Amino acid sequence: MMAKDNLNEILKSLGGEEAPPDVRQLAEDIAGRFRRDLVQTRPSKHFLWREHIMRNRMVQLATAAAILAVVSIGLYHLGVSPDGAGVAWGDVLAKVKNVPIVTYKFRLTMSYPEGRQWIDESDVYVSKEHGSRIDSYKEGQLYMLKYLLPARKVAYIVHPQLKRYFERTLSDEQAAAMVEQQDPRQWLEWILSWDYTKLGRSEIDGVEVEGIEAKREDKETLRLWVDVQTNWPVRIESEGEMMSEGQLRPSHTVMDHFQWDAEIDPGLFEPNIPEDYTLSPPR
Amino acid sequence: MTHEERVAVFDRLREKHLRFLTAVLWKLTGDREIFAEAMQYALLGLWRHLEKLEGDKARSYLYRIALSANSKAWRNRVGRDGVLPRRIAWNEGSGQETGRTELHRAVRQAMAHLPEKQGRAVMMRYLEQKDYEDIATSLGCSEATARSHVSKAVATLKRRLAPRIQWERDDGEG
Repeated sequence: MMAKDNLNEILKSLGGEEAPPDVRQLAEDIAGRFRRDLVQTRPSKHFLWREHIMRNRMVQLATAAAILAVVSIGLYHLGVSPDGAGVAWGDVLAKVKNVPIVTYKFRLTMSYPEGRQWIDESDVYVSKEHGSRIDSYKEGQLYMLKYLLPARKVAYIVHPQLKRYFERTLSDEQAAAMVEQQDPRQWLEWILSWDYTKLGRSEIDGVEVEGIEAKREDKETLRLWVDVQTNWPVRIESEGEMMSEGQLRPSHTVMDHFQWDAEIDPGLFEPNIPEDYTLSPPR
Repeated sequence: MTHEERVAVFDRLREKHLRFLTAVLWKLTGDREIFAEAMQYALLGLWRHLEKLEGDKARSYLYRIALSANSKAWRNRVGRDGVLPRRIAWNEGSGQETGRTELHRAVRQAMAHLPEKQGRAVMMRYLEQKDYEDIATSLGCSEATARSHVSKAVATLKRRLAPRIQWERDDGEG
């Protein structure tokens, strides 16, 4: 219990708080980026701003802008290894394109001053037929599950520790866009659509891989590592900046431990929310 | 309107209203991260309601957009894990200051969950020191009804904050 207070005085004091200069600058920056994206994209794409805001409160302007920028690219050129040795990059996308189910691990690391870090780890399941499921962990504890069910035009966010869940209806377009954002194949398309440079060979978890790197306006670097023997993608990395605590912070995302064409029980995509969980009001 | 025409209108509205939105959203959020999120929602609202914002009731719609944006930003923060993140740097300064900022945060959070008209009424009355005539005009109601909205909003806030705050006295609407 706090000390005795006067609500009127508190409300009036809130009214006296002027926005600091850096906040005014932040507003200008946000408006500028929003305006730029209005020009670069068509109206049908703008819901992605909203989608992205809702998808992850940590990930704001930088990534939203990135997604808007890349979805506006209509064509991608597929490079093929000229001498036939190593990874045939043109085959990579073709190989994964018709895979019905893919699973992977997703790890987002945000860096703050004084060495502070914020880490979000998730297991992601993406099915062309059933939709997607994301299990998110904080310090090893499952704290959130997200289900996206395009066929039913609905998404659920479940907080098991709170026994609470959100339900959100979606348009066909929204559902398709959300699946696209979670599907690593979309990331492959982005990387291969940009001017990329080859990174040569390396080894990841005992697998010999070959990599390429693509940059988006010096704001974001994407790397793709592919198994030289099988041409299956092994790791996708992104380095850039994401908005957090009102400032752009260095960020690093990794998608790995892919299981392409995994045999998954379709029941995994069913939310099956326990009866004692509470439905939270719509956002 | 064509897309290009809409962008031109958006530019005008942004020029005209960004300062207002910045001021209001900062008062409502008091936190840079929530502010940034709310501002994005507000810009989306501006874009989606361009036509309404060029009419006579522009300021009224602007309040609605700001409040809706603020509400969504706060709900996102709380909805993700049930509590506000500790990362928010409100723990600076003396113990008394810390308590004060915690109190302000609690009030702001509760304001974000007020019904729409109550939220607008209390925001205009306290955060912008508007008189009841202005509030009534904005809400499209009588002054008596505007007073009622403010009074109900204060009562709602006190009730919702009761588990955390002991009020000094029975605050009459100010």
